[in-house]
Amino acid sequence: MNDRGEGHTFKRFDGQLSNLHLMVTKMGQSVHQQVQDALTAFRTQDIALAQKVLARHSDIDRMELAADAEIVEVIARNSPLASDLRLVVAVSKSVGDLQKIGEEATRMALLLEEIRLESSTPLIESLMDGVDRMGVLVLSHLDTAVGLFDQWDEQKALYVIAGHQRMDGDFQAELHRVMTCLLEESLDVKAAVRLVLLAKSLDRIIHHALNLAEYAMFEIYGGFDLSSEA
Amino acid sequence: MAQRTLGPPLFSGAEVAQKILRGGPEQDPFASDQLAPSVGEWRSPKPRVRCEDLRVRFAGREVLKGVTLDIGRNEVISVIGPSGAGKSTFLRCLNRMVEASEHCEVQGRVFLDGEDIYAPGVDAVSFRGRIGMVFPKPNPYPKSIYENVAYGLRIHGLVSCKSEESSLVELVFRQAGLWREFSRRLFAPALSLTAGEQQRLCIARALAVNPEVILMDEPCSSLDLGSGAKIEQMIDELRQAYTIVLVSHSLKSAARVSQRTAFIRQGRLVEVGPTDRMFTTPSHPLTDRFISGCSE
Ligand SMILES: Nc1ncnc2c1ncn2[C@@H]1O[C@H](COP(=O)(O)OP(=O)(O)OP(=O)(O)O)[C@@H](O)[C@H]1O
Ligand SMILES: [Mg+2]
Repeated sequence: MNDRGEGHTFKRFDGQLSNLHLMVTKMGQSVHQQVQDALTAFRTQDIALAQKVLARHSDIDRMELAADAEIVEVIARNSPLASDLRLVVAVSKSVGDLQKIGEEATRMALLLEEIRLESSTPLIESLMDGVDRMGVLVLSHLDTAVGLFDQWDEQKALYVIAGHQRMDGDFQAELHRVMTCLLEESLDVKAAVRLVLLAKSLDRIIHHALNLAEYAMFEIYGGFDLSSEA
Repeated sequence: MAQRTLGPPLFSGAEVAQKILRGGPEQDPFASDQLAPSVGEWRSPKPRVRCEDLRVRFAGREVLKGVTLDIGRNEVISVIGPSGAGKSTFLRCLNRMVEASEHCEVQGRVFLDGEDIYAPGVDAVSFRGRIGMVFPKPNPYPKSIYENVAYGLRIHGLVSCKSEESSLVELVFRQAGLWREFSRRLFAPALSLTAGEQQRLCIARALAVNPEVILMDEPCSSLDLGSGAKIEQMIDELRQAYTIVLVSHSLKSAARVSQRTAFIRQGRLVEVGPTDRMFTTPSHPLTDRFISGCSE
């Protein structure tokens, strides 16, 4: 695919376009790291690690701004069409979702800074295990979704897109467990709220990962049937 | 949160496109001249013009290799493609002007409102009045603005007296949206007009004989952006009453004014479809390559 354009102008902006993909991949990796560290920090009650996550928040924002600037430039200079146009739109939308995932990581880190788990009881341990399981699932979905911008794989995309269903079940189950513990008064309210908020953040991240897979799908095929949107 | 389900891929060539767009196949599908049959909706239920397996040879060299396409009523269809693809040749088949070239052989059929214009015994000139043509460079007659329009009316026997003629000329200019601009200088020489004005006059001249179809071969190519925009606006207004086939080198211009777009490459119709889809999600990888590689 070296000799693109056969029209009037040869395509000079192939490099710029693959750079856009690279930006998504890099931002995706950073965001993935943030989520992973936030989860680890929570698990190990590591305030220092949580603070690192918070400190890196501005890096993610900077990456978003840089990507936005690049996108605007590509549009202004090259007015991309067809698959190029879809690429630019997909990247632009992805960057927005990645930034929001970054925010979730920050939120999770703040949760730990604000309220620490006083004592770890077997009950809290088992609830944490549930959150951890969600975390592993979320990280793998995020990783796969971001990878789609590096190498397209329809099966993987469909897997991520179906992921929110898997996750919805997990989140509901986790919520249910926490509620039960609360009703039995064996868990204090603060810990319960933290766990639910954490689980909710993970739930939102997996929805963003789903969006990423959809944008990648849009770039390849050009569209979704949104008529069945609930 | 919104729950989306994945619809069916928008086009059947999805797998092909996927392989090509994201690398993969060892052999380059563009290297070969073998094209898949054209994709897209080339049929229209009530066509104004229907082309069937249209082939043109110049001195034995086939430059149009079997184009089958319907052109509907009240639509602007743009024809895009690389230089030398056969766009102008295709256009000139629709009014049999192509036959004026030397060593030219035309095969296939073209129906205008169901009538085969290439049928034996059909006089090539008889239906020229039903199909108007506008050329890349404005070519007004070296006469007055008024005469440019009146001449066609007269030779087609559409007027019987002077007063009828002048009122018809006015009507044509009004219809073309040019009356306000030209009414006060009707008897100025057409060649004194700017290129943009001359081109609009040529469109008015094409309208004068009340055609059903207007063929435009890159009508904006010799004009500056502003004059081009005025022509585009005119095309959009004329769509209400005419069928317009527009050959355009400017993809932007094609995207702005046409409802359907046909992509011709190496004498073949590769793909035809609704313009908005062609410019965002073309089905054929060759179309994608042309449209994206061509973006200005
Ligand atoms: N009268 C002619 N005699 C011989 N060859 C011709 C004639 N007219 C066109 N051709 C050839 O037919 C092919 C198609 O020409 P055509 O003018 O239709 O292309 P086009 O798509 O309109 O190109 P462009 O975008 O440059 O106007 C070209 O290879 C051209 O050289
Ligand atoms: Mg031409």
